[in-house]
Amino acid sequence: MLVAVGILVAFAVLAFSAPLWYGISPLATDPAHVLGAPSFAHPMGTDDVGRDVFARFLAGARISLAVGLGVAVCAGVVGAGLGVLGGLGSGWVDTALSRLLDMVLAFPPLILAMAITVGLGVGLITACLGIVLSTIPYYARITRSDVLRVRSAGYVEAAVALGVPPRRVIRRHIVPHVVPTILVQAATTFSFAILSVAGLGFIGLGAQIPTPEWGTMVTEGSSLFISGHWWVSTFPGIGLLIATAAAAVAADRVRVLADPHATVRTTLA
Amino acid sequence: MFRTDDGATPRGVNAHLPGRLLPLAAALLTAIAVAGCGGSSTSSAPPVLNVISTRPPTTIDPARLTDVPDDIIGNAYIQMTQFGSRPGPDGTTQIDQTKVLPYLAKSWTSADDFKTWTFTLKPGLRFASGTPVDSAAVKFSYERALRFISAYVINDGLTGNVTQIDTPDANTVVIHLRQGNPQMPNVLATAPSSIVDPSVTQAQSDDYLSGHAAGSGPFRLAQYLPNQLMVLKKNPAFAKWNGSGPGADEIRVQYVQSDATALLKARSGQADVVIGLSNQAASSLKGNSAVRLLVNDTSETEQVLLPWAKPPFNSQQVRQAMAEAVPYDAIVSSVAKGWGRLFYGPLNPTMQYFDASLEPPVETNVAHAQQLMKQAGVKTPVAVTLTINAGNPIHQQIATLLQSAWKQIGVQLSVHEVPPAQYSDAIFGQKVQAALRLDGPAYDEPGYFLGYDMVCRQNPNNICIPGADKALAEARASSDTAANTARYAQIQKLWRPLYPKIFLYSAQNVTVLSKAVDKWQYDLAQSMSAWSKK
Repeated sequence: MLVAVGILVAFAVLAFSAPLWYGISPLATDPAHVLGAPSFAHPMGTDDVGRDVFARFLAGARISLAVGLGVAVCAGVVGAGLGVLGGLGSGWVDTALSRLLDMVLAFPPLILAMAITVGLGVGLITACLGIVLSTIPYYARITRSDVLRVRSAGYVEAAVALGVPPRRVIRRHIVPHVVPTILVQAATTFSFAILSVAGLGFIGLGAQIPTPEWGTMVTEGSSLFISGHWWVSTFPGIGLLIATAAAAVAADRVRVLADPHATVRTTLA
Repeated sequence: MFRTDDGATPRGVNAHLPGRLLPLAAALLTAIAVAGCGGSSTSSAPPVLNVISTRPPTTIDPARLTDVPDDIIGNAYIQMTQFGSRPGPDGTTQIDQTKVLPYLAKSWTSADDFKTWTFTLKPGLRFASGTPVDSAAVKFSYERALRFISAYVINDGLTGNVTQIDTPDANTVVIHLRQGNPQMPNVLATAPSSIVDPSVTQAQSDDYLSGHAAGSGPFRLAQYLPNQLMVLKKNPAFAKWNGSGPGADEIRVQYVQSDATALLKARSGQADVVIGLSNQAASSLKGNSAVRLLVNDTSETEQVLLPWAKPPFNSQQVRQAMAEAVPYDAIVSSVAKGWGRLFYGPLNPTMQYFDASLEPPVETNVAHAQQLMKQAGVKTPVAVTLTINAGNPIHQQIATLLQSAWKQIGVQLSVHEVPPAQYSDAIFGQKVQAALRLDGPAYDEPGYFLGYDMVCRQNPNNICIPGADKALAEARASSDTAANTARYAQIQKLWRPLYPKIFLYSAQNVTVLSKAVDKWQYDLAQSMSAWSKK
């Protein structure tokens, strides 16, 4: 996990500090040097309008990491909130929420995100919104399950019996026990969001010209591959691979850490 | 092989299986033998010309042709006239639209005012149904086309110009026009003017010809799978009537979506002719000894449409500033890969009456452009939304370069990509603020082209130059070349200082030919009669 998190942190540090140490703008065109191979001046080469691919790679990393984190947090807050509401609410509230979530879950998440993006107008913001809306139900469902489990625990019943106000019961006794579950889901969502926004960008529904998003860059470079200009799409593709793999490994490790049985087995071993 | 160790046949195995396999094996061997024989007999048959194209037609109904790729269906039909040819690059030829030759019509005459045209047909040609290709078929075809979008071409851009078509006998067609048009024979050489079989067309629904052909041209449409395949085979009836047929007995046009696929087929020799390869992909074939790259000038121009009537684009200084800030040389070299001609004026360099001295390219001058913006008194940044055809890499590249260039003069360009199906509607429905467009006329006649690109209140940009309108109307009504040269010169002089559009470059078409192709003629409308393979 340390390696995976380290990779993500390194990406983040490099990406967000890039304007300080790499002076080339990701949007600056240089028609005199189009499709230049990787070199000292342009470590990842240049694209079909002369833009520096490394600068765009770093800018794309900023976007991807921000999107991953933003989607995980926004969907987590809203989804977890709905899950707590459903788990603690009265019968009709839980039923209504559950059916609403079922309706959303009936659609494959990426298809739903595509539909929302097309409906609201293509662009990075609407793509993120589409991904958030399509991942909220996953948070809500697992949070609701956890809340239902925790609310019947003895210490919660004892707190209620002692007259602890409901808000305090939720805040002190229920929410802390569902947070690990939410964190696991957030780690998975982080990886999913990066891939989804890249996928939407690949089909023209995500970031628009000239935004340097990895998925869009892969699309722009795909037609150049066959004519030998492999670097335009390869580097952002590698970035996607590393970021999502690291996020997936981290999510898996968080899941193991959050599972008390796994922790006990580790301790006993 | 199906027996157990003790020699018994396992349960469930069909004991008669080997027996049943024998006939199957015999049939298989027979099929292989027949295929081998067929292969050897095929090797003596005329070669098939394999064409790869990335630009499939949207329809093959001559009455509803809307875009250049649609014109390919003209190969399955005959027209009243045909264009001549002139030498092209590297031993090839190309269509010359200034020369009009007899085809179905063996001769024609007109009244002095060009309002009445009489065409005499060459008899003897029949459709596949047996129906004669006569004056009744011509009248039917034109009246049908006048009901649909091809009316624009038949009328030569002059709305409702064809008022009546008479057929005094089976071999005579008389066309009456509201306004005299000396270019009528040119119009009737185009694919929208194709002659269709009335008996077949009337027996079917109006949509029938969108997926089938009912013609009598040099080829017959043997197979058509929209967006996938078109097979054209030599029409023996036409060859007999005409005295000669097309150069190739069979042409298979395979449509591919991907530029990469087209490039691979070009490199591997699977394609004899590759049409519509992007300039980027074609440039990777330079120096490849297995193929020939043919470059032809076209009348298509990559251009930026600006909303002439809306502020701040109703300011000539703003338009000029935007024109002068464009990096033309960079666009031609990096986007068009050198295959583009720079010019600036209402006529494309391929058109008759084009005068290079009156339409020199705009020189990029960012400093002067910045001054013009200040003089215009426009508050910057000026927000512009540029609509482009989604998935068109050239448009994406140009839009990106324009963003950088115009940023220097305070124009903030945002790019709006629109799916192809909505793109035309957005342009012609005037639902866009500004747009990138590769556009050219159905045929290269200046009057026809300017008729939809410049006439007041009749063009998508709302361009209006009254003096130019008057000169154009006079030129279109006259066949006097000297007088028309002066009129078009006047149009060029009036148009240019106003900067109504931004012409980026005149596109040059790049076609990839294999070494097996021995005769080839370039035509934007893809007429294939002159093509042949060794």
